Amino acid sequence: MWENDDACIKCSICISVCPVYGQDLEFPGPKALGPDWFRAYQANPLTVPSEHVDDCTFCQLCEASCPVHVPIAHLIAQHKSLKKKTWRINLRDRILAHPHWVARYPRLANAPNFLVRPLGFGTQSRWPRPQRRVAPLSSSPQADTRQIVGLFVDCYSRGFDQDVLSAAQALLELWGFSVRLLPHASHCCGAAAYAAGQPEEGQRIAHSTYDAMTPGLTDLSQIVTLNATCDSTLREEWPLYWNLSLPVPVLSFSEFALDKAPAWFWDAMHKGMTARQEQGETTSWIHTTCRSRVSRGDGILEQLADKAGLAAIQPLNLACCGAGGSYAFKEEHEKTAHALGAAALEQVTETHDRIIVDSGTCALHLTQITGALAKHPAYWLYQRFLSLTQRSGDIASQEK
Amino acid sequence: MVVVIGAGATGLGVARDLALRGVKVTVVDQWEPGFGTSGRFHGLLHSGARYVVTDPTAAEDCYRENTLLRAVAPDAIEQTGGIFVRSEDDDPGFEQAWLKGCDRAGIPVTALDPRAVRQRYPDLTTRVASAYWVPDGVLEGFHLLQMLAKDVLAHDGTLLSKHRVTAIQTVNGRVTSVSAQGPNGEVEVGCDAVVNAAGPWAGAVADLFEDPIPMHLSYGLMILFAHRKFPVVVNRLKSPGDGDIFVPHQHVTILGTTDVAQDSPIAPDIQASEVLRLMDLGRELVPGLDSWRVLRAFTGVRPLYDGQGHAATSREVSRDFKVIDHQRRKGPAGSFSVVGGKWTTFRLMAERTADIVTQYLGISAPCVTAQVPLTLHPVTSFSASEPYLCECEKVSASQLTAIDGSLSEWRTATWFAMGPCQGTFCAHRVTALHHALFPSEDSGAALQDLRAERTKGMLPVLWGANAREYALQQAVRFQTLAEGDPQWAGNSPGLKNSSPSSEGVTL
Amino acid sequence: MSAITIIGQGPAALLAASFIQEVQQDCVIVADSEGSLPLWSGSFDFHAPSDDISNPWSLLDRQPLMLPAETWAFLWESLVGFERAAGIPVAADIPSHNWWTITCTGKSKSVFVVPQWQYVQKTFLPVWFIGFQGLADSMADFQCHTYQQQTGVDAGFHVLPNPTPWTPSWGPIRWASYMDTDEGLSWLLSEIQKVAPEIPKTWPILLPQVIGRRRAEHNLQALTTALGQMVFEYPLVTPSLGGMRIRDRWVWYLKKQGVPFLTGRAISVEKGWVTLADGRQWHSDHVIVATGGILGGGLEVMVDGRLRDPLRDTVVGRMPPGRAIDLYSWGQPADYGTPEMTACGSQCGGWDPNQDGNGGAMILATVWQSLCRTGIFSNLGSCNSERSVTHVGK
Repeated sequence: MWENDDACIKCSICISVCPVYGQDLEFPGPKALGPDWFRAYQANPLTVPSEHVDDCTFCQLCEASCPVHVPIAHLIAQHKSLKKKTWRINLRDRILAHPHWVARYPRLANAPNFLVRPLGFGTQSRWPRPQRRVAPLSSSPQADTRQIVGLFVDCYSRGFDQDVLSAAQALLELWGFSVRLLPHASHCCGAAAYAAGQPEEGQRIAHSTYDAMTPGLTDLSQIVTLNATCDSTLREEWPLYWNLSLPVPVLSFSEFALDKAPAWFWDAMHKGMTARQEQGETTSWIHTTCRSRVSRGDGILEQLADKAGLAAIQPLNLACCGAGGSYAFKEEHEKTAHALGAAALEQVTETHDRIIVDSGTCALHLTQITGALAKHPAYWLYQRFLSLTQRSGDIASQEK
Repeated sequence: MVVVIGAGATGLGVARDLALRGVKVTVVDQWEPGFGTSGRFHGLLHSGARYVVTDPTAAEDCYRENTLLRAVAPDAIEQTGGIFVRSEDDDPGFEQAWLKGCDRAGIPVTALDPRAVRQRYPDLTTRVASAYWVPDGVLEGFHLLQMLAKDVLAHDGTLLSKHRVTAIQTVNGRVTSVSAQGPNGEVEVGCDAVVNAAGPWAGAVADLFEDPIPMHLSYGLMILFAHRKFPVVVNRLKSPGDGDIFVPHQHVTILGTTDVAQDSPIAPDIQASEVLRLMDLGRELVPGLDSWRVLRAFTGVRPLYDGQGHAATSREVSRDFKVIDHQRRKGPAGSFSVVGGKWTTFRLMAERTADIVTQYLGISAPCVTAQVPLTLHPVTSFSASEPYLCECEKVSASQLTAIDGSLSEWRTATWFAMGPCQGTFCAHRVTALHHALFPSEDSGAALQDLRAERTKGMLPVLWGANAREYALQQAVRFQTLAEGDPQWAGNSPGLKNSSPSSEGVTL
Repeated sequence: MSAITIIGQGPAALLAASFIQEVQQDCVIVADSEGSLPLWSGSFDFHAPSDDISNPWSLLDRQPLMLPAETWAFLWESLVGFERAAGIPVAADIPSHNWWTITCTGKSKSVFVVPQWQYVQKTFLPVWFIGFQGLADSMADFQCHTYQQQTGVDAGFHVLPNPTPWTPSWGPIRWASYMDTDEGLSWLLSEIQKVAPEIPKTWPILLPQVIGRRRAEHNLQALTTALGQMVFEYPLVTPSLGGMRIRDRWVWYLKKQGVPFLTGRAISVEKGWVTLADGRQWHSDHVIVATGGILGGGLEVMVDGRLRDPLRDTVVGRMPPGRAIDLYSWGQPADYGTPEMTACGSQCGGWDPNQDGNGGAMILATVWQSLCRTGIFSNLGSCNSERSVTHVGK
């Protein structure tokens, strides 16, 4: 099923990059849970799964580090799928593996603690607050490229990050693209189920999402994503493991912006800053999420921030913020999740700093830990554009 | 007292058989149990099906012994079952002869749906024309040897490792003692009979009886892969030839084998061309073989007995065995040789040999090895309070220290250093542990022997990830652990209290 | 997109990027796996049998690259400067001689530029080894025995019992995470204090290299102060905390300087166009190939023994029959035959750190050779030296 599943040279580089292994003193690490386990499992399919296997966040940093390209994280996901769980954890994980259900009814996230705690949901991690659909933000496009761009609406943006979604849509339209939101109703790329050790369910979810998307794909020039995990799932898991190939290229919003935003836009981002605004400039901390690093690399968000004229750009020294999609919402992971994110607190000391991060759940988690607002680059870009072009101020005000 | 020469399956089997009949035995081996052929085979417990067409006697023996061993030594046998697969390129006529042969030998065969087989074993060629299930199994050779050796010792027997037999003394044409050279000089063991079970060295021992026997030595090459790729033994359904068996052995898969005639009991260095040829043959059954993570290659020497004179090829020499009473030929009374045969039939060979020896000794005790079970002495199980020293094969310190033996005996008993890293990360750890228990032994030399032995197996199959493992191993050994001999690694005798760049140091 | 693309992210790649940053040029690092730093303790070796560093291999038959003494000095000073800028504690002055370090098996090995957490000595001196019971690579009894036997110098050892939170899954990284906590440090101090009366005051105490991932220097300093005697680490095998600390800091330093670290497999370089397997493509004036040779995957060994360079999809050699090879004589000549590409580090042929103990020098010299080709150092005299690019490998 996998390529290179037996290639491990036991070098241990994977455990040197594993964020959880460095933090959780009981987690056996990617080598033991991935290739070592898989070899034992091939020799004996009755091999008992590790009790700690679900403590993996599926960040895939191990897999990206592997010099012989063992699909370490995916082997661990297979390992997870064999672990027996109690009915209550099963139910909870089934809910978390279907974030599009929650996104359809975002108020579910407001459920009181006495209801969610018995199911094994964590109560320390901040739960997202639902955001109603924000009215379209942009005014008329500044140019018309006659290209239609599909904007992939991930579950989190749909349910809880409407301001990011609206900002992205507004920017794309501003740059002259027609925007089509995909898929029309709430669907999931399958990443959450895969990370929770339900690869088959992930595949099923992905296929249904693919089917929901296909009617609107034919005339698209590309699909733009707002979440690094969905981005890499669409571009890697879909074609590699789930036999789904989208007929149009998939690109993260940041890379799309660097490549396609017109020159006048960048000029505008550098001009018109009043002295008061310049003084008010705060540090822009950048956190490229693990999944984004794994599939595209580090430094792209910094380039974007730089091109957008943001001052004091600082990469956050953080392997993983600990959010891990729904990882931080599970009671057994809260301690690790918060310990992982704690490194951010040592760096971001000013709550008026901004954090630029390419995933909604990571943004939520980082905001909770540091007290500074963490948001997707589309949000920050649009906010800056509005403030520099004297438009109606802050996006946040439009939510209300 | 009977002296058995050779601590392989046959020798230990003979010794145990005699010991259970109340005969006092001493087993002498020039190295350690399993150093020869018994420790260098593919691990297949034959159902006999492989030989039904070409060697029906061996086939019947194999099937009977296979059934017996499952009952008496279950700890050393994995009842995997096996499949015979005929590819579209193979002769359908042979299939018919083979089915008849299995029927004659009483070997149960079940026809399988070729499509289902392809689906179940996706690594197999898509050209599967027909497939059958047979009761093949997998024999953990080192475990069985240890069980035999322990049982010999438990029945008042003696094991004399690292002793090479140099002479057989006779008085009035009857053997009286055996001389052997060991690490502490020569020893002489008095005896009433000598059994030559020296495998490939049987010819040399027979020369000491002054009654040469015609041995037909050939070696077989095997390639070992890091993972267990099939849950069953996979045989190619054609006339037995090269590269037609895949054996799942614990965590690994072994591809066997070849057949090259030779004179020496020790196989020559493995040639790249032989490895490529075996890979070519293996690819006919498993087209994606090149992508399997290879670990090492090794050879074993078959000690076949060519009673009829020289056969054209060793595939034509029977896998049947023979017990020779040298007194009936030119040798002294009380000298016997047991030659030929298979690992699978070792117990039967031992029984026949012991029958003849006890008859000579005038003892009338019957053979009981078909009934008395062999058990694995409780291996110290992993204690939750210690780390693994060998992570690939999951071996901890207490498992090792429970074994009173050399570093190589620790290795064959636990499989440390035999997994994907081939000792890169554990050899020095285990050496240190061994040194703590046996401080008088030269641990440095033992480590270097282990390294050399691992290297020897890795070099012939240096491709893909194995080449990278080897590069890593070399760097760990020489750059991290300074195992090399150059001056900068600090191993030269002239180094004491000198700075590493001081003058006067010679290379 | 970028003036210079570096493929790979091992020590050679990081060094090349640091040099390029130094002269304010743009570069991008692209790699499809982690570099090799976590495999080694992080010493840069420059074994010179002769004290004349202008010709360090005068006593060896192989002389992969001749560089003038001032170039060597410049390169080592640059390395030390980069490491210090990245927060890696190495002495400011380049050593005037090699040091001995002690392996976890008790052998002595020559090293040149070494972080200060690692124990080195000029001549063999008495030392006290400390091992941890639940750490497989710390074998203080054996280490002490070997050290005494090899050097003829007195030594002692203790093996400390496991701390309460210890479990059998604790490898070196886990130990280091524990030492990064206050609890870990105080456990260690109290355990050493229990045995300290037996340790001669003037002997350095050597601990396994797990005394913290982020706080190693702090911890060693705290121990030295509290115990009133010198405390250092000895390197273990993999994963090596020394190499990890260097990697973590060096990569972070370069990221802060604005060097992008892209993830992806470069599948071709043609006329300066770098193409990744995921379709990304950009133009570079120069491409530095630091893909690590056979170990790093920059050269693939095929079943039939042919060696393939995957970046150019060409066969660059063949293993000799029997395959008893010297891994390092196989490699790419520094010059790829095209003006925009050069190889460096283990991807270069002609060097053998396993045999010659010159791994650090190999990285420095070949990176320098590559950088000189880019032309960005033309103002530096040593790049113009004729001797600097003489490749006399096998």
